Amino acid sequence: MGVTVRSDQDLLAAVADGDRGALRELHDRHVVWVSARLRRRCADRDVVDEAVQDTFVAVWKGAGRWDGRGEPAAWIWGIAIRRLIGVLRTRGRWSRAEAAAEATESEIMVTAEDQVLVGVEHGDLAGALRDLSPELRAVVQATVLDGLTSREAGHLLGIPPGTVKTRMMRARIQLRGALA
Amino acid sequence: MTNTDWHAPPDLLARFAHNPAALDDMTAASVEAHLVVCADCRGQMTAAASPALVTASWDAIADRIDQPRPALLERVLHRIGVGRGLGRLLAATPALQGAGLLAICVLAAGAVVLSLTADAEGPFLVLAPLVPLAAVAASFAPAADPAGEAGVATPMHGAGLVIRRAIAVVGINFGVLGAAALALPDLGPAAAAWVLPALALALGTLALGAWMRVEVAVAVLSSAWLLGVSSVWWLAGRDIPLADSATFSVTGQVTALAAAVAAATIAAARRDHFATLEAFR
Amino acid sequence: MTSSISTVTVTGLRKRFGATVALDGIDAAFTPGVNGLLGPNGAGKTTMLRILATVLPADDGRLEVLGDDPSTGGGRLTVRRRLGYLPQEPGFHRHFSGFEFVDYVAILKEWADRKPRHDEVRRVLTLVGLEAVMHKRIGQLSGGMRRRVGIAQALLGRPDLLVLDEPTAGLDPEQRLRFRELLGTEASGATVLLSTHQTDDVAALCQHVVVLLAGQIRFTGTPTELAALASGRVWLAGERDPGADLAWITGEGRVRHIGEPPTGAQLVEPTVEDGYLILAGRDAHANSEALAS
Repeated sequence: MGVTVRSDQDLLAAVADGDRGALRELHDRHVVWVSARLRRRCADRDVVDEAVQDTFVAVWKGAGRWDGRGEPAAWIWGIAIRRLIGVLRTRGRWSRAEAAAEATESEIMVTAEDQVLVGVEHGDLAGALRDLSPELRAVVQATVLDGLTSREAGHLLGIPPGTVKTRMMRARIQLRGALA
Repeated sequence: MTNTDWHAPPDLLARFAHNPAALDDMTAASVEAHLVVCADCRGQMTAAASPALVTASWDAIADRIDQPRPALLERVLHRIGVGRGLGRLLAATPALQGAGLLAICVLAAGAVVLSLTADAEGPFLVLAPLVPLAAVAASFAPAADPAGEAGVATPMHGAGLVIRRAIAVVGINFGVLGAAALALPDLGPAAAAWVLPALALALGTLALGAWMRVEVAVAVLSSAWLLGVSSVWWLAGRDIPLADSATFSVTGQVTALAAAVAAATIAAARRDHFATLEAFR
Repeated sequence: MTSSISTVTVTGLRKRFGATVALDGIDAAFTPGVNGLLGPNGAGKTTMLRILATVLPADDGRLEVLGDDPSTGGGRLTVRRRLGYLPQEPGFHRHFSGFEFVDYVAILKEWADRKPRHDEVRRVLTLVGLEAVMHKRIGQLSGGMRRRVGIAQALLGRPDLLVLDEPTAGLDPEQRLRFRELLGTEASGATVLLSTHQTDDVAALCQHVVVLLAGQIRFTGTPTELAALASGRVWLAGERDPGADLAWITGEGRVRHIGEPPTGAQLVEPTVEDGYLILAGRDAHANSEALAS
C-alpha cells in the first residue's frame, strides 16, 4: 500500500484531530532521542520512563495548543523536560521556592542562548565551556540549552533557585572572560 | 540559520541511544541541539534502538490514552461500591446524564414553586410522582441503551440490567424530590405522602412496559394518576385541600403500597420481555 | 475444514408481525464455516438472523444453537456468551468514539476487568483497520468505517457463532477483500451466518448457501450447486432475445440471457448469480442491479 510520509507538522495537526495512528507515528519518531536526552539529565530510569509516558500523553491531549511555529521536535522537548521536572517533584526532590526577578533573567538567557548555540555548532565556545566546573556547566545547560527558568533548573538539579542564579552569573563572568 | 549539511555520525547516534550518559558534555550538547532540527538523524537514532523497547513504550502510552474518562456519576457509583463495569452501564442511562438530571431538578423545582404559590402541598404531591414515572420509562426505552441492537445480543442485557438501572433512577429521583420537598410550606408527614404513590407509578411503568410500548405505558399511567387524584378530590366535595384528600390519606398510602407490590409481581412475571428486542412497528 | 455436525439447527421456524408472515416454516442446518443467507430485501433474512442471534423470539418451531435452546432464559444466556452479532442497523450513539462503543459492548459481554477488556477492544479495532481513528466520534466516521466498528464489536471474545446482517454493505471493494481475509483468519472454526444480496460475496466467501424468498427456503447447498441450477440455461448473444426470461447487457457490450436457449446459442458457464436469478426471477434481478450500483 502506497502511503505518503507525513511531516511532523502534519502529524501534530492529525493528533489534534484525534488521529491515534498519527500519535503512534510521532511517538515512534521521537521517543528514542527524547528518552536519551532525558537520561542525560536524570540517572533514574524509572523517572525518565514515566516522564516520557507523561510527555506523549500530554501531546495527545494538547496537540491543539501547538502554535504551528518552529519545530515540533522543540515543542515536544519543551514538554518532556518539564514533565521530567514534574515527576522529580512528585517523587520528593523539592527545592526551596524563591520568588525573584525571573523576567529579567529570561532576557539575559535569550542572548546567552543564541551565543552558546552558535558556539556549540561552530565549536567556538566548546573550549570555554569545557573549562567550566561541572556544576556551572550543568546550570548553563539547564537554563540556556534546555530553556528552563531558574526555579525549574533548581528542581532538575536539586539546588535552590538562588544557587542557580549565582552559578549562572559566575558562569557568564567566566565565559565572557574566556571569549574576550 | 542552521547548518543542515552536517549530520551526526551514525555510530555516535547509536551510542547516544544506548548509553547517553557516556558522552562528554560538549559532544552531547552539540548532538542534542542538532537533533531538534534534523529529522534524518532522529530517524537514525530510532533505527539504532531496540524495536521491542519502542513498542513497549507505545503500549504503556496507548493504555493511558485509551482510558475513557469516567463520568461524574460513574465515579460516585464506584465510590459507593458499584463495580466499574456496572457503573458504566448505569451511567449510560440517558435519564441519569446531564440533560436528564437537569430535567428532573427542573420538574421538582417547578412542582415546589406551584405549591408555594398555592400555599398548599397539593400541587407538589400530585406532580412529584410523575417525575420518577417518566425517568424510569426513559431508562429502559429502546433508545436508552447506547449499544443499540448489538447490545441486545449480549449476556448482560435483560431484566437484571433494567432493574438495576430503575433502582439507580428511582434512588436519584427520590433524593432530588426529597430535597425539594423540604421547601414546602408545611413540613408535616403530608410532605412525604408522595413517596408511595411515586413508587407505585415507577413500578407500574416497568410492569406496563413489559406489555406495551413505553410511550403508551407512560401516557396511560400518568393520565390514570391525574384522573384518579382529581376524581377523588372532586367527589369529596372540593372544599378540602388536595393534600388532605383520600388519595394521600392512610387508605391512599395502603392502596399505593398494594399497587406497588402488584406492579412488581407483574413486572417479575413478564421479565422475559426485557431480554429481547421490543416488539416494533 | 468444516465438520459435518450441525452447530445451528432450525425446524419449522415461524414468525409473523401482525398480519405479515416473515418466516413460514423454515428448516435449515448450519455447520462451522461460512454460511450465506441470500435473498432480496423483505425475504425474511434479517428476521431469521435476529431469531438466531437471540434478539427476537420465534413464534413457533424448534431451535438448537451450539447445543442450547435459546427460547429458554438459561439457553439464551449461554448462547449469548458465545455469540457475536452485527445488526443491519447498529444504531450507534454519535457522540461515542469507536473505542468507547466497542468498550461499552465489551462490558455488556461481561468483560469486567479494564486492562484485558481494553486489550481486546484494541485487538478487534486493529483487525478491522480502525486503529488510527478509534478515538474519533462515530459521527465523524464514514459509512464504511461505521460498518467496520460494528464488525469489530461482533468479533469481541472470538465467538463460536458469528451472526452478521449485511456485513459488507457500504464497504468498498478493497475493504470487502479485507473482510474476506478477516473471516478466513479470525473466524476459522466458528460458525458464521451472514446475509447478503451480493452474489459475488457468496461465491467468494461461503461454503454453504441458503436462498430465502418470501419467508421460505428455496435452496440449500454449495455455491457451485446453486450456480449449477442454471446449467445449460445461460447464453450470450449480440442482441437481446425476446424469448429469454431475463436479459441484460454485460460490461463487454454483449447481452446475457437466462431461460430456454434457442438452438445454436452460445452457452456459457453459469455463475452463482445466474443460479440465484433462476430462483428469484425478475424481481430479484431488479433489486440486485439497483443495489450493486
